[in-house]
Amino acid sequence: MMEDALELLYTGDLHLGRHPSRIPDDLDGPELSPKAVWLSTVQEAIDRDVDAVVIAGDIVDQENRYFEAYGAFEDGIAQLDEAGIPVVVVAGNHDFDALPDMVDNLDSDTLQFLGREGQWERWTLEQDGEPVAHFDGWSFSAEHVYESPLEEYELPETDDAPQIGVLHADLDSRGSRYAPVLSSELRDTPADAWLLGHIHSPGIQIDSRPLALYSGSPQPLDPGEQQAHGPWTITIPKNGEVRAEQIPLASVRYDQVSVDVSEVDDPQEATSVISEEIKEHVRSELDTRSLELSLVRVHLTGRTDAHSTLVDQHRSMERDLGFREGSVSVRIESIDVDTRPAIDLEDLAEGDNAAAYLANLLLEIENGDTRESYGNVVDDSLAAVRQAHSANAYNPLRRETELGDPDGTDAIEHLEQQARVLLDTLLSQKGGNA
Amino acid sequence: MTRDPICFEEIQIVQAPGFETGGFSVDDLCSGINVVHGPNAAGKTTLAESLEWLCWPETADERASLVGQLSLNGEDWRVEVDNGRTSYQRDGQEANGPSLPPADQRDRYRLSLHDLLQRDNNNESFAEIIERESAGGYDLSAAYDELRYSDSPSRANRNVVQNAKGAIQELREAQNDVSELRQEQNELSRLRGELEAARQAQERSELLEQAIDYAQARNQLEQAESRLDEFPDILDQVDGDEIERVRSLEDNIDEWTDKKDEAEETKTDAQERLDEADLPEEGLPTGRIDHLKELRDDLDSAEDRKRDLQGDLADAQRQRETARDDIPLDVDTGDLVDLEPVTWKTVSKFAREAEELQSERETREAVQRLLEDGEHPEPDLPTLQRASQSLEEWLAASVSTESNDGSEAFRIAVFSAVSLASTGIALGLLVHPLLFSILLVGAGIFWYGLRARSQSKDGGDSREPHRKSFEKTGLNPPAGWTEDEVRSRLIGLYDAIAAHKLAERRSEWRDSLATDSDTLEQKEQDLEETRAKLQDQLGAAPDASDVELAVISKRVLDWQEAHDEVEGIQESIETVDDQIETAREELQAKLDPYSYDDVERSGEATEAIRNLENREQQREAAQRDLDQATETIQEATEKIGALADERDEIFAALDLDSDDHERLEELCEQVEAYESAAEDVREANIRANTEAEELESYPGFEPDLKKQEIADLREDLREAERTAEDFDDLQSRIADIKAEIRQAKSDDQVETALAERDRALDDLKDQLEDDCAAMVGDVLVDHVQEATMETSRPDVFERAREILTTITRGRYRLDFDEAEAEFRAFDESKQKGLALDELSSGTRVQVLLAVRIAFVEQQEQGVQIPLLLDETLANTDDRRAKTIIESTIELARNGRQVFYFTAQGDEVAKWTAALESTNSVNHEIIDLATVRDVDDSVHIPDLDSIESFTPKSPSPDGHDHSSYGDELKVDSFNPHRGVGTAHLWYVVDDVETLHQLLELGIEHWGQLNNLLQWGNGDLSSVDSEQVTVVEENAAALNEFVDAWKVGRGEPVDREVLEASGAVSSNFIDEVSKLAESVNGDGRQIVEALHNEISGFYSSKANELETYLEENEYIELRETLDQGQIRARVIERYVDEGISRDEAKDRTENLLSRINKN
Repeated sequence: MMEDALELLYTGDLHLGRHPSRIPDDLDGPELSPKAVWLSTVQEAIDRDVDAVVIAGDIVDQENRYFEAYGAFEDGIAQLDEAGIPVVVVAGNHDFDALPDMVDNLDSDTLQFLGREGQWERWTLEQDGEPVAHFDGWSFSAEHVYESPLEEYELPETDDAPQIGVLHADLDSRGSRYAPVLSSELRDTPADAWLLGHIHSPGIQIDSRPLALYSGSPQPLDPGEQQAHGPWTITIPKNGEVRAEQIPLASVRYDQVSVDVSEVDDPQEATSVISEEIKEHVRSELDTRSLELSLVRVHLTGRTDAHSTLVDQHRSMERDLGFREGSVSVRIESIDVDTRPAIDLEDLAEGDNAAAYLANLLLEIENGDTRESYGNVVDDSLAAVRQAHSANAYNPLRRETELGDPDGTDAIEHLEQQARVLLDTLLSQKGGNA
Repeated sequence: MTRDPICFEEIQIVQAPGFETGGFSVDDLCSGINVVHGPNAAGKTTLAESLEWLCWPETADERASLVGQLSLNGEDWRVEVDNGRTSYQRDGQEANGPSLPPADQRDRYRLSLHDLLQRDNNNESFAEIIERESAGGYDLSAAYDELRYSDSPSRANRNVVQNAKGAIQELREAQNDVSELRQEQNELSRLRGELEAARQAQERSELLEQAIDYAQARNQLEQAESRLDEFPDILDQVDGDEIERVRSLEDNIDEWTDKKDEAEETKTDAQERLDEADLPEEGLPTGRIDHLKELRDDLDSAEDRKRDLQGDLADAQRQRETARDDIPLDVDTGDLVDLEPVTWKTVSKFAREAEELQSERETREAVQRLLEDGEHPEPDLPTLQRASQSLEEWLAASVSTESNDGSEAFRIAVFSAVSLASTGIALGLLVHPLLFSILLVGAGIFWYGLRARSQSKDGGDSREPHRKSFEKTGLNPPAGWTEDEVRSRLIGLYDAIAAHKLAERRSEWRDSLATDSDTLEQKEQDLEETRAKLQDQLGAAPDASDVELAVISKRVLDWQEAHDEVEGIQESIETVDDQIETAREELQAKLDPYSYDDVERSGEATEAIRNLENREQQREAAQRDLDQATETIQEATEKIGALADERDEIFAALDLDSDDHERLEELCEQVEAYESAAEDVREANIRANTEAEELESYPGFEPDLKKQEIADLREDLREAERTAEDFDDLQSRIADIKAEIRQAKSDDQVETALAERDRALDDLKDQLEDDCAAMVGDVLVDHVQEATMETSRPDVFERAREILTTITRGRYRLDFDEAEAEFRAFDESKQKGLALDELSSGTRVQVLLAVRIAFVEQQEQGVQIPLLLDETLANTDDRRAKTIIESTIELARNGRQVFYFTAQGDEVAKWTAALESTNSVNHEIIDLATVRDVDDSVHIPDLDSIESFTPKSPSPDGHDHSSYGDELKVDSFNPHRGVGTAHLWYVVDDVETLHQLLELGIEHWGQLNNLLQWGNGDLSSVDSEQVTVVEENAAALNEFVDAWKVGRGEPVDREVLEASGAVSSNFIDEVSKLAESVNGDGRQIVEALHNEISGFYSSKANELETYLEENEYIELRETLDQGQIRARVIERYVDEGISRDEAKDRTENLLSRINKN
């Protein structure tokens, strides 16, 4: 690193107060909490003696945005304050209301909350009386913001120090309720870098000036947030390109591994194949320095006699498959059985028995046209799925999650799966496969 | 497929069990329905068995011997069964038996009521066959089971749901905790304010307490003052001892008065005594008595002197006489008187000098002699002195014992001394001056006497010691131990002593004479000269010696001297007399005023003076007493006055009459109380002041506080205390909140709860996925079954369904439960599927009849075997009997021969009536009693008509649709029970058609729908267009039902309530009734349980609610409103190909029909 380069530690979407999902009970603990990773991030900033820490919103989770999250945040800020490291924060859609309160209640000289009430705000980091960086920030003032914050704002252009934009926004997602911003809008600004929040998966969005990236959540929170997570260092040399580098501080990692089980005949065999694949994945992919838990989603593919058994037993396989690789516990987050029975549907489709019916159904599903002959089945399946969804037992799901209304696709998906399984089962009744 | 029936025409029972001795024959059997009746043991069973045995001779009893005539395929057959042997003839020719179903299927043709109502019959085997065959050889049911498919959401794993609910609940609680803590946090500033208020209230409380203390002190002061005011003001001047003082003063006054009175008496007495003394008021002049005494003393001394002088005069006269006598001259006295003194002086002097010289010479010679023979007389001086002393003391002792002082010794001493002195003087004058020293001895004797007197005063009271003392001296004692003798001896002693003294002197003189001899010559010369002169002068003979001269001179001189002395004494006596007179006169003069007369003598004077002195003393005493009394009176008067004044002052000071003791006493008695009251006031005042100062020292002091009443202050205090009492609570509350916040900040309760919730919801999602899979699987299996059933389900099932639909007029549809592999009946009018054991016995018989008959029809190969119905109607009601009869007639109509065996006359009547009304079927009533020619024939009642089995519908004439509905008394439509339960009135617009359908015994849409699908042509008479309209309406009504059901759970009935376990037997009737009244609405039931049914535990109601929710009896979705339902119904009509306008009209019609009822 160049000595005169400005170094920032950048993160966002901490979602303090929330816990990563799908973590097996027996492995769970406070060390997997985003709070722990936040405190690691703070320590990293202190160790690196960065010039500033930038947090791009959603510091706390909406569902748990008060004391628990506050306490952890407060601790971290206090440490940074003590280390004399200024912190630049903006509010996201999760903490639009909580963050201002927190900031107001925190007695920190070095905490800079920018963009209160949705008003752009600039703060200049000075060293020895000289500006070393300008931070332009904007904060959510409500849970939903339908307009781009950049729409009616022009970032002032200055040449005395680098300009860093800090924004919680939904990039290139028109119609989003979360401050939809277009890449073009960012490009039109004089900023040297845009440090964004909102999207939990980390990634550089614009690789040229201005650099624009999502830090992602430092700790992934659900299986959709795959790959390595952690804060980023942003290095801004006096002359030269802004560089961004992720520090994989997350203690949890979600991944998906596809395993072809075409050659396997029974679940035991499948288990060992899956196990091997995952081990290989862990060895080759994972940075295990901070990692404590790797949760793998297994996608099984291929045509196999064990299809029905796999479908039947995938839950127990999920539970049973697990091991340690070095210091990392590896577990199956879920097994997605996308195999096919080893059946010649065309052959079976001849005839008017049950197997023929199912074979024809599957062929039509594969062909993507079920309406003609199997409209009723699909309709009834959809009705059944809907009935299942509307069952009182799932009221908690409907209330607590955004459980989508099932549609024909869902019905066909289920129908296809069940048709395969049923066919497989019926054929097995005759002591062998057709 | 049509097959020829076997038709028994005649049966001859030669021998059979029970008919061993002779049988009977039945002929005239018809090809249709043969009703065989007869009493028990008439042979019905034997006949039935015989028919069976004739069909399957291998099953015949070996004892049986039978002959049957029958027709088959237009051929006459004869079958003989005789003790196990069977023979056939076809058209008279021996032949093999016809091809009949296997014997093991014979029971299919024999339908006894008893068998049909048996549950454990072999219907299940029918079902299994149907199931397997319909699936083309695949066991869908097994697959269904294996894959755990289900037609409803899984209820197997409620834990997952409960976990999710629990996790959500925990999250809610955790979040609520946070919310509460937030509220508490928000409350902090308020709490802090309240805390401050409480703190101030505490201070205020203290202030108010002080204010109350002050107010109490103030009140006490006021009370004290008020109590004090009750006393007279004057009390502040009363010391309380006034009455005592007054009494004391008055006692003093009394005392003084007494003293005064006493003094008055004394005074009077003194006055009397004064008067008695009779002296001037002022008494005797000062010193009068003394003066008188002096005068008297003067008088007395004058008298004494006079006496002395008179004595002296006498002495002097005697001396003068003596002296005259001594004068040897013869001269007159006068001459003697006239002799020149000076000459005498000179003669005297010459004589004296000659004498002196002579004396001196003689003395010298005498002295020379004396001195030469001078020896000390015996005894010695000290012994003499001791002896004299002893005698003196003796005398003294005697004096003292005689109450006399030692003057006796004194007198002796004086006498001796005087004698000595005289001797000394004489000697001195006459002999030698040195002899004057004898005076010294005399003086010593005098001194001794004086001492003896003084010693005698101290002397003892006994003379004896002195006598002894004297005797010890060894001197000669007195002649006698009398006083005179002693005195005489003492004089001797004194003389002896004097001799001693003289001896001593002699010694001294001798010494001095030696020295003076020189001057003696000179003196003799001088004397000679003088002598000469004297002789001349005296005229004396010149031969007169000097001594003569001197003596004559001396004697003349002595006489003259004596004469002078007599003269002097006489003069002195005169003087003394004068003095006496003067003194007497003076005394007299002085005593005269006091009434003393004739005081001549000093003794009288003394007496008078003593008297006067006494009087004076008396007067003085009286005067003193008088003065004292007067003084006392004065003093008493003054004292009394002063005391009275003092007393009066006391009264006056208190403004009282002087004699108002009572009042004064009263006041004094009050003083203590008054002072106590005053003290109280003082103390109260001090306290009030102290409290006031204390109060004013409070920072929150307001002047008004001092004026407020205690009650108001107390009220304020209570208020303040109420506020203040929260202080500790508030403080601890704030501390708690802070602690809770600190705790919450370091907590991960919500985070954990969120994670747990997500985990539980993931599990629930998994279960949902499983449910979706299972339910889609169920749908799939249904469709597979349906599809394969349509193509490959055995005709037997189709036939059975057709038969059942037909014989129940569409009311029941035969279903097949693939999963359970059993038959079910679906009640079209109730839209409810029922297992066989859920059916009424009549319906069950119908179902089984249908299945049996279908099987018989479908399974039997070759020919149709006659059906044997054994008392199938027994114990049935009319309606059921009718349906069975009608069903049987339907079977017979298709060409099958039927035997109906019964012992019941009414059954025969029913059959007869039914059969007679049906012309299309042959029938024969066979009375076994008649056949066997026995007496006890079955009595057949005279039934009016079996027509009564079929209800007549009211005529539609004159009715529109609405009024016809009224006429029909159509039940209200319950959407819960499905569209099939809807009365046809709802869906059949045309009243004629409606009437027609009702006449056919079709009342509900389910029946009609069933018949339309499965019926066998009964509806051919109905207008097909009208049927289409009915179907459209039914579809719309179905849509209505679907829409209506949204948000409404399944209806709750008694069964559900019982299954819930939440309703005890005590309440089940009441709650079931409630359920009915609210049309099974779970939500309303729960609400009513909470509010209306008394005694029903809320917890149980909650339990029921949970059960109903979990089991879909309560649905949480919102119901659709009328508009939404109408829209859906309209859409449905449109879907059915009806124009939107017409659809709207027909929707209105339909909904108005529903709403009407």
